Amino acid sequence: MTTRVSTAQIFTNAQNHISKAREKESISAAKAATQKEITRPSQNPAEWTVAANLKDDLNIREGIAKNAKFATSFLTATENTLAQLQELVGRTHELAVEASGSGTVSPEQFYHILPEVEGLFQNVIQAVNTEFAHRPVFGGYQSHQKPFDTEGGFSGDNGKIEVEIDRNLKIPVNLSASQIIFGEGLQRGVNVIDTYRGLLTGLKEGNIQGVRDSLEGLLGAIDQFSLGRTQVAGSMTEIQRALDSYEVNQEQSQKVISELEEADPVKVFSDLVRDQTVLRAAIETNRKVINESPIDTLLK
Amino acid sequence: MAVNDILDVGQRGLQAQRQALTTTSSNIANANTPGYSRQKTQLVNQPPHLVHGLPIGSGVEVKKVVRVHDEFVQKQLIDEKQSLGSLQVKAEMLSRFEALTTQEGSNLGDSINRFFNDFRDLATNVENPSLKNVVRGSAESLARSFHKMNQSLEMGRRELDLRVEDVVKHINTEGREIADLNNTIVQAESRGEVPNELMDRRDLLIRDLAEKIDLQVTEDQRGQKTLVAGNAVIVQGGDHFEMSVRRSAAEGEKAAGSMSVFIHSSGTPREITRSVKDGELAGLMQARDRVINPAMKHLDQIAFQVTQKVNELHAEGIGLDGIDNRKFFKDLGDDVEHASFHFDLDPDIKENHEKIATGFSSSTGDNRLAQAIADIQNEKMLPAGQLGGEVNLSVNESLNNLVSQVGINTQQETQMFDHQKAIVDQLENYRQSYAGVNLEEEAVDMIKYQTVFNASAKAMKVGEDLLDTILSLKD
Repeated sequence: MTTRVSTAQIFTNAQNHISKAREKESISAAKAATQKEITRPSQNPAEWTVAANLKDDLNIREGIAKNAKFATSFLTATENTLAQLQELVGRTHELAVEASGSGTVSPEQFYHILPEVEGLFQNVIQAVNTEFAHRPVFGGYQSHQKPFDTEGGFSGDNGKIEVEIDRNLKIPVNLSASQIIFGEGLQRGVNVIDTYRGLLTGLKEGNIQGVRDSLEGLLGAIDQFSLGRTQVAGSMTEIQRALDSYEVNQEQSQKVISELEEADPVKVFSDLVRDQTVLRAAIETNRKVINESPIDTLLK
Repeated sequence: MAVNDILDVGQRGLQAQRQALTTTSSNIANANTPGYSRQKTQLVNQPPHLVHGLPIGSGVEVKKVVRVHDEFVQKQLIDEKQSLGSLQVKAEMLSRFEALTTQEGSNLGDSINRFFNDFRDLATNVENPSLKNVVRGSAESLARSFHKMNQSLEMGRRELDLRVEDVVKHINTEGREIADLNNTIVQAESRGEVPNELMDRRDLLIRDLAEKIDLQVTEDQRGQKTLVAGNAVIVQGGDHFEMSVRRSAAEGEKAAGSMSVFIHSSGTPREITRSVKDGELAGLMQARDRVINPAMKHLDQIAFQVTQKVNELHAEGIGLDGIDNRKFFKDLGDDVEHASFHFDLDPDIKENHEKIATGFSSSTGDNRLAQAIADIQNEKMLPAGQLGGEVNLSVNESLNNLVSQVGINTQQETQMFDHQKAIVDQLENYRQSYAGVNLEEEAVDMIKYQTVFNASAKAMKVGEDLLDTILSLKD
């Protein structure tokens, strides 16, 4: 049995064939132009969701990494301050040793050492008031003013400033003044300010014993600052680890996103060539089918 | 046999071939007319009469002109086109809606990320006064993104309602025409006419109507079609019952203020919205009620949760002015509905960014609150499904879920539409193959009828010659 084909059918079929070929060619052309495999969720909802969640994760991590870098800068400022404090206290210790040398230091020499120690104390006060980005490194939450006055009086607090350095990981970036400056909560902790005060009083009063009493405190202060530097180094290591992990994660996430979203260029272009060929063939074939109707011959 | 008989037979031959040629040329003229069924002229030989006991043929006559029509295919097309209409409109609308949701969702996602990242920045550097201003800016941008997405969804809903209104108008117009055709066809048939073109037109309208609403078609004894749509008679004989739309209260999946469909068959209009199960009309309402409405609810849920969580924390904080219990966003109360529309900053914060609290104390360096607000972004606070379920998605995941759900719906409807279109195309192809005009066939028919027409004329000429010969004998 032969299948009857109506004239309208020939045109409808031609239209359908060309339209389907055109649609495929257009999809391939869009992929070639954008180099994207998925441009809308309906093309692959599951993969689109994974890619979208990964992009959000990357965005959040980018913000966190920026803050982690800021925290590194803050910690570096703290570390520099502690190094400076160690130097200042070290020099103070040298002078105190010199002043405490029994019988070798005259009262005139005491008066000669005193101004330098007073200067060093002011330098220590200046150092413990160091600010980074308007925030005193030892002020806790009290960042609107300098935590130490010129006499060494403290108006800060022990507020722990935590910064997120990785997803769901926060670390304190500031050191507590009560611990590092006043030695609270530490075994053989030293109150640096009181140690200076004792030394200065000893020097002013020519009290060698008083000067000698401060020596141990000064050495303890140097150790205390070392402890602070160790803590800072620990935090910086942790931040560095988080930043390294961010970079690895970023690379992996981008790779996965790229695998999910981006089109394989070789496949895209070969598909495009194939679809363009099919389209040309569909147009050519249907042109022939439409043109070669025997109607004209029959009605001649 | 009289010579005149030759002329009579020839004349009948001419008339019959002329009528057949008219049918053929009508077929040719209608080759591209949608819904046209080719017609065939049925020729029958006239009963012979006896002359001297011998049967002498008395020529040909046109018995009738029939249209080539397959009622079974018509029924199948009516059935399949209902689903096609529904799927086509859903695929088309959802595809457009998906593009919009993806774009707006991406903008909203960016705004969410920016808002929480700015709070992270603020937490890292609370002493920097300009960062509070930045946070206020990103919160305003977040509000704009919620509003924009809400507007897009609302516009989608309105557009679908407008289309519902249009489709109902279309159904009324076609229903009215079908009822008129029912009358006209019966009248024509009662006059002994064969109203093929009118029947074609009625069939075409019914097929077209089937794409718009689920339709049951029955035929009475007089050949009049009765149409039942959405459980309500819309055409019965020459009577047409109007449908109308109006906004109504929320019911089931339908949101308040959306269009409902009514039938005016007797007395007060009766609502038939829930009985409309297929066709374009059902597709539009399903896209509105099953895709846009849940997406809107989902968006409202996200906006509500963000507002609640941020406000709860911010109220625990103390501003630099020493004031606590201050909201960050405008209080929405317990009203989740329209939360994305009403989402906005608290007027105090809007007026002065310095009122943004960053800590749980009034100390300038206290960053705990700012960090806690930034942490909300990671909190699993939204349900996985649009209709609730286990709360295990963060705000970003929930938004991505909303957009991908629209993608899933679009993908499903598009696949089903492609499948259904293939079925309908196949049926249309079959109908075309069976009832469509083939110009080659018609050309051959034309030659065939023309040849016989010419021959009949020749026969008449011979008859005339014979008559002339006989008449000349008298001279």
